[in-house]
Amino acid sequence: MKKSILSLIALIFCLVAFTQDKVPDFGKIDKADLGIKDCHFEPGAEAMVLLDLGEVNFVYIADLGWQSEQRYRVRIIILKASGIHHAEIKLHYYSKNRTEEISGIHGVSFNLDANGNVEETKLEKQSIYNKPVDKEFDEVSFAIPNVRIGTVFEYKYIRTTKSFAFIPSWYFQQSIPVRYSAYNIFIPEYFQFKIQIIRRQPMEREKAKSSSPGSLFVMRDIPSLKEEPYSNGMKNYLQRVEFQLSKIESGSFYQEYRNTWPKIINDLLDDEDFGGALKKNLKGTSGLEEGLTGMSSVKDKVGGIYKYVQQNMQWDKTYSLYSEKGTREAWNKRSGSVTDINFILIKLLRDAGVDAKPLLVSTKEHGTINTLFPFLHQFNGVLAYVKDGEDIYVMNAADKYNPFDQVPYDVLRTNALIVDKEEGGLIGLRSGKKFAITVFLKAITDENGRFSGEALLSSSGYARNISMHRIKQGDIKEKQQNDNGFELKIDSLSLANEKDESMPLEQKIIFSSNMQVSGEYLFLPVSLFSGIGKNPFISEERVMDIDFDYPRTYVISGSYILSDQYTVNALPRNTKMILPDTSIVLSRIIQQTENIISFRVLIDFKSTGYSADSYPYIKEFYKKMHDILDERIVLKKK
Amino acid sequence: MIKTFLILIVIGLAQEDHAQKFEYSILAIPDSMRKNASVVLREEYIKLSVKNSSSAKYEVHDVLTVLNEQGAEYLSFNQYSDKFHALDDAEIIVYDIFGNKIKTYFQKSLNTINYGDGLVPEGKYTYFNINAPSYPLTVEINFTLKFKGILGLPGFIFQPALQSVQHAVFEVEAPAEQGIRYKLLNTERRPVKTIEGDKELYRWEINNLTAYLPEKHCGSSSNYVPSVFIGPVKFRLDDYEGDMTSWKNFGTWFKELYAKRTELSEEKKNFYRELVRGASGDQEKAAIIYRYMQHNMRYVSIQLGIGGFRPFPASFVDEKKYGDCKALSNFLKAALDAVGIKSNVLIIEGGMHPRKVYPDFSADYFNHVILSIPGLKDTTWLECTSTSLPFGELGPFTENRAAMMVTDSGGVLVNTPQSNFKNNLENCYTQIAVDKEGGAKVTAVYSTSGFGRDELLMRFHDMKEDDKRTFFIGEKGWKQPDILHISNSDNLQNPYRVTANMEYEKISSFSSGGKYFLEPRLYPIYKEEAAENPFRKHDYYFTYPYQVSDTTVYQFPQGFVVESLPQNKLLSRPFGAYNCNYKWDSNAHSLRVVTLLQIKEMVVKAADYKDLLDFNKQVILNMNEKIVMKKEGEK
Repeated sequence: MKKSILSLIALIFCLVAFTQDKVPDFGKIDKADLGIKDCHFEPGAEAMVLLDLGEVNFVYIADLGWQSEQRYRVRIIILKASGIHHAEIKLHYYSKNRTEEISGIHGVSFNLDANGNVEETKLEKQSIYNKPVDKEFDEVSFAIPNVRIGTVFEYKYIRTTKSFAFIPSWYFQQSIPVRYSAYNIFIPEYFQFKIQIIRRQPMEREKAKSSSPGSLFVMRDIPSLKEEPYSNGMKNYLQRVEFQLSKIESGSFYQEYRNTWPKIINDLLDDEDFGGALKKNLKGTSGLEEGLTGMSSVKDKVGGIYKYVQQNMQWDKTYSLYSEKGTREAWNKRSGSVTDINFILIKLLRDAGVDAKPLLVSTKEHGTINTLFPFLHQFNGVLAYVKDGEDIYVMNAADKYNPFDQVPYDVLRTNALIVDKEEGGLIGLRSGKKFAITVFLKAITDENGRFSGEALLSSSGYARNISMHRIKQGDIKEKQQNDNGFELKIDSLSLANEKDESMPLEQKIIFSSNMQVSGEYLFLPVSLFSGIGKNPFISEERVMDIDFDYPRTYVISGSYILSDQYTVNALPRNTKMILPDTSIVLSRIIQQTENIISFRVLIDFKSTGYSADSYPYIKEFYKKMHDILDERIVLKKK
Repeated sequence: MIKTFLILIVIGLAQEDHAQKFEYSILAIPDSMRKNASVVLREEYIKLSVKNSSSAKYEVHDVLTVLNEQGAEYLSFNQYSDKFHALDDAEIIVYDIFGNKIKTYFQKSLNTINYGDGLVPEGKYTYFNINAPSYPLTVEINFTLKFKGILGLPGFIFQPALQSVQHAVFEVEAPAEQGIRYKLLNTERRPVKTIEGDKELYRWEINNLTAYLPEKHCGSSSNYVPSVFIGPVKFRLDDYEGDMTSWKNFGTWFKELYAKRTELSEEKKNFYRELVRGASGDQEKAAIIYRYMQHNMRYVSIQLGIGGFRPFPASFVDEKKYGDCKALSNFLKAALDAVGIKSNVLIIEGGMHPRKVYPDFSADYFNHVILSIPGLKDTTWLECTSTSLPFGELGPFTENRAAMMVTDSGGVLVNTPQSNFKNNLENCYTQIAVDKEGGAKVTAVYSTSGFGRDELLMRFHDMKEDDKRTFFIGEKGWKQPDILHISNSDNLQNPYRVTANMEYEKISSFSSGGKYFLEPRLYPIYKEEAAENPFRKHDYYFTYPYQVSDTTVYQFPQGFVVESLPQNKLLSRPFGAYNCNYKWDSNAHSLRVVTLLQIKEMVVKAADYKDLLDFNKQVILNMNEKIVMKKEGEK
């Protein structure tokens, strides 16, 4: 239907490049570039993108309709051996139904020979491979010939996409620094796109001066972005521009596209693979019906059905916005994407009379939703949403150990979209729960320089989920053998409340260990079993904000009973350390009563996020915190 | 006599009957089969039927009961297929604890993707993960793999760790004229051989094997897992037919694959002759060409069909400046040929702990190719995919093992050099100038050759400064300083050197009551781990042998005196040694800690494991001891 109307609007565009900068032609090398030894705005980089050019046109092709034609050109200089792999290029494209095609590949490398002359080596056609990846995607791959340290190479290609509604996002920022990046888009005047820009550096943007409407986006000297510990996803930080078709208007023809949240909701509900999939009946759920008899409260039903789906479905580790293969197939295979699994959950909840709704989410990895830009592609999965009076349940039955009444950690403090005609709209996902670990230790020393006893380790809130994963993955006994410099011997480990998700998971550990020694002195730890691990904040630089996901509390307390052979020589001081804004507190109290030393260490991370600016404070706090945790009770032989 | 015969028949019948109505219910698992087990192999029937040199069929029927989450890996179906292997009739059936069929999945509902990191797909990968609502869960897996070309043939593993076996049968059938070869590994169980018409049939049958616990650091599992290794007699991939009954013949097959691939144009030959002009002797010439290759060529994986075994022509690598291990080795051979140096490719298994190669059983144990230059006294070994190894060095990825050299007269099994701890050296010299407040300025010079150097070149050398700092603290484990500057050798000479200048606000681990507790070294010198296990069954494998020598010198200001020093320690074992000495110079106020750690042998026999545990314990204890200093006049 859409197609037939559009085919009436046939127009050929005159493409005028209106780049202001003088960009060298393909295959024309500036000799000065071949002499570059380092990246001037990111010293030590393994490679640098000299040019990253993209151009998007829409062309109308008889019988096929509108196509988006994207021309790409990339020029890179290799600065270190570890950067050579950038000359192996793999281009993924959606090959199903020939929706996308890649053509016009050219590649060339430039080197200076011994006499200082430029040596050119071309990529040959027969060295370009195409391989299917799966049923939907293909990959074109090639290795640029003759690439070593100091080489400049470039390649270009054309990607055509059979869709009029599509302008690919443009990433100015990459895993290596980019010296010059320009994206040139030409849009027929009757297509209107909404544009979303994410940037922290200056960007030049120009409107086309010629007759064809379009825009040019240019950025320069963009440093690379790398993974950092406790960040809420690189995707949020990559400087980029994104597009979504908002309307088509030509003469009497007018159509709006997903440019409001309600519009997105309505489109989804009408979609066969979304709204349609939610209506499909599932067979073979008899076990569930038996289990539900006698349950009357919404909360009980939600919990019961959630557990049923959680147990019966295997997540295939994929995300999707639609149930592409259908909920019936997923149910039959007992396996599916996040969306398949939660669609099944919603369907079964509705069958049981619970008003469950699909909830579009974007995991932290996938990036934060900009609420001002109603772009469907900002989301990457569907969860289930139930509002029961004051209580709200946000559920992902693909997560095997998350209880139904705890917002999954990977969407915590993100925005999500309830997909419902009446009650649809954006909500922020919050949780009152935190991550809490408490360790209670009781140990006695002996004449052989060992200490032994038991530790009661309890994990609640988000800590419970993480502990369950660790226990299920394998031998936790072994994992805890070396802790804080002590070689622990675990004699036994028992679990309590493994099944009851409303209770903290308890691990009772019977252990023994050598004390650390030095001559007459012996040392005992005041931090064991907490799982705090090594200091993650050792890098000096930080680009991304710090995201701790949830508030965290650690309480490590206990007592040592000293045997006759030892006296206390020195105890670590009672200490309290507070971040200026009081959002992180550490306190340690140690006291001795005759031959009993009791201690309590509390670490409370009240806040969940910090801006990158506050990194020096967090880094300093962590360093001191680890110093404090490493301090020892000093004993002396009598 | 008659009696025995009768009993045999009865048992035979009973078994036949049993096989007909297999009891899927978990009630049929005796307690003995549950001990130590995460999974019980209830019933297995595998048949390998070799038709001729290029065609075979491998049929698998497995019934497994997974008892707990640790056995969850058995709930996934994974099978590779490619040009020479087709997957057929795959089927997965899931049963509940009572043995009732819950679900059947046919091949079309399994997932298939292409695999391979290289430029072209190496083949297809079919997988499926079975959901376990709860444990135990019983699954039946049936599939057939059709061979449309033979190089290697699947063998039979009796029992991996954590798995008990109730009943398993492995049969190999081959035309009598063709025959089959087998090698028993870690077992004495010989097959029952029968001849039916023009076919030979070998049958292994096992019953009621109890599960054993896994052990870590055991090297290749082929060292201890009871299994049967199967080798073809005649084999064929595409048009290349070979005979695997001797190394000589097997190598001849490779020789033919490599034939006519080592040709370079006269112009190119002259180029390499020009390159080595003035060099004295073959060693120097070869070194020049090897270095030329390291600087100009790069590793790119392209494995396609027979191309998984046959290299791209030398002229391709020469022109494009890239290739995989075969192509690069073959290119180097051609370039060396041009300057009159004869060399041979070596088909080898790359990896830290390779399978053991049995000289009396020639077969395809391999996955990698290197080059060797025969010498009058010594052979020169060349790893062609490395851009940083010194000429003639191999490293633990290819040392210490048997490999097949492809010579003009066929294959020859040869041994690559033994790993020697003297080739893997780490030296660290740290000067710590302590100030009155307990802070310190530190300079550490770290130099390494062999494996440590290679690791730093691959992972550290090309990093940006901030990443280098993170690596130094996070990976090497240095005590986190307040200020850290790092520099390193610019060129890749041996040894590789890293210098760190650091400042610490507080150098002691902690101080208390006027005493300062200091570490003997600012990083962990010993990182080996060995779990307590009084019943260790398998030999223990270190990753590679090495030596670390460390000198740490504390320079204290006036007023600091020693309160207590860790004891000097000297440990010596056949596999390693540890020697740590403390020397306090009261006039100079300096404390010198000299430590030498040697791991001399890669393998510690299971019988000596206690010895290793003791060594381990003592080294760690000594390493964690503290230096206790105090300021004079304070108590």
